[in-house]
Amino acid sequence: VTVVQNIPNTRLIGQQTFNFTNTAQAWNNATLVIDRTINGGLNSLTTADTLTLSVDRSTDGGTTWRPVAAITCIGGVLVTKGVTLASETLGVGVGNVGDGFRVTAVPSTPVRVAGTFTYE
Amino acid sequence: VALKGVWTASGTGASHVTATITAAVGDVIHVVGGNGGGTAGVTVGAPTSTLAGAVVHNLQSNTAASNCAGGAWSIDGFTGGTGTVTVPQSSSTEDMSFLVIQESSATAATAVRSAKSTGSSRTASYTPSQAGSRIIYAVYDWSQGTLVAETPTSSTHNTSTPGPQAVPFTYSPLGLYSAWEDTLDAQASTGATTYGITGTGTGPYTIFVVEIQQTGAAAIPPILVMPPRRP
Repeated sequence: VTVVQNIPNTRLIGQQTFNFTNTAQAWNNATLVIDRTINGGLNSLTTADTLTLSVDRSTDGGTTWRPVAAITCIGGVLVTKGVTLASETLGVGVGNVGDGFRVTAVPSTPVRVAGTFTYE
Repeated sequence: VALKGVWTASGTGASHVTATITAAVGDVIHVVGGNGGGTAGVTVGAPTSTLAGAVVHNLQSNTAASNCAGGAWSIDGFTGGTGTVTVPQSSSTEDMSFLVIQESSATAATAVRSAKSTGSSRTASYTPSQAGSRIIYAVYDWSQGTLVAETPTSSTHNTSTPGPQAVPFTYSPLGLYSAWEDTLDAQASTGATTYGITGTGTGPYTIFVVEIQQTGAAAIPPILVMPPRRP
């Protein structure tokens, strides 16, 4: 069963971390999706602005964290082939029951984020 | 991780196939591939192989949604002999490319040792689970943006004898998309490294990063890049 956990609409002024519960089974992937289109979101920025999103893993209930993967998103309305980019995604593998994750967002300028973290 | 062979292919068609591969017991083959994603919903399918005993493992995949489709896979279980690896796609009119790596002294990559991103990020940072791992990374640019370079370069992130090596494969059919597919031998540390491309483009990019753990020390022989064979 796919489990979707929400990242609530949040205005980031500086670095902020979102924690998620441990997995109940050995999933294949965990996928972070950030909506660029919300009011005050990435699409409201300029292309000189960035938002770094990183995913850490914990196998001991959150006592220790290890970086897994990260991306650096670009702000602004990004149109390619007539389509406006609406979301950012980062997927990582989930190997073991009990793996926990946290998402850390670091904006270069204040921005709103909202999205999901899904175990698949 | 000892590199035994590298195959690349590109172009339209329902699938592309490697030249003949000789696989020994214990060898592992890794595949990354992508296409232009010209139509929403198109995919690059899991590879198939005529090599005896081949077992394909799905690592990461992306279905085109105003970005490039693609995926990453590992193949193991070989019992010896010769054969080929075929990478299919759901639309024969899409332009696609793949990079196939054959190794010994390696462990088949798993989903937990891989990452995928889609969006405006030109790079994906990944932390190898151990020193000495090989990394395969691929970047597919739906916008075919500005001229860029791949990062990291072989001179700064490869430490193996006889010297730094990488296998950059670039492909950019006019007006469709751009692809960069690389493999980097032994990683110098277990710290996070940023894999991808430099430049000023905004994509959207589809990126895959796969870690291949080594199972024993082995010298890395010279890389042989073999011509693709069309089906």
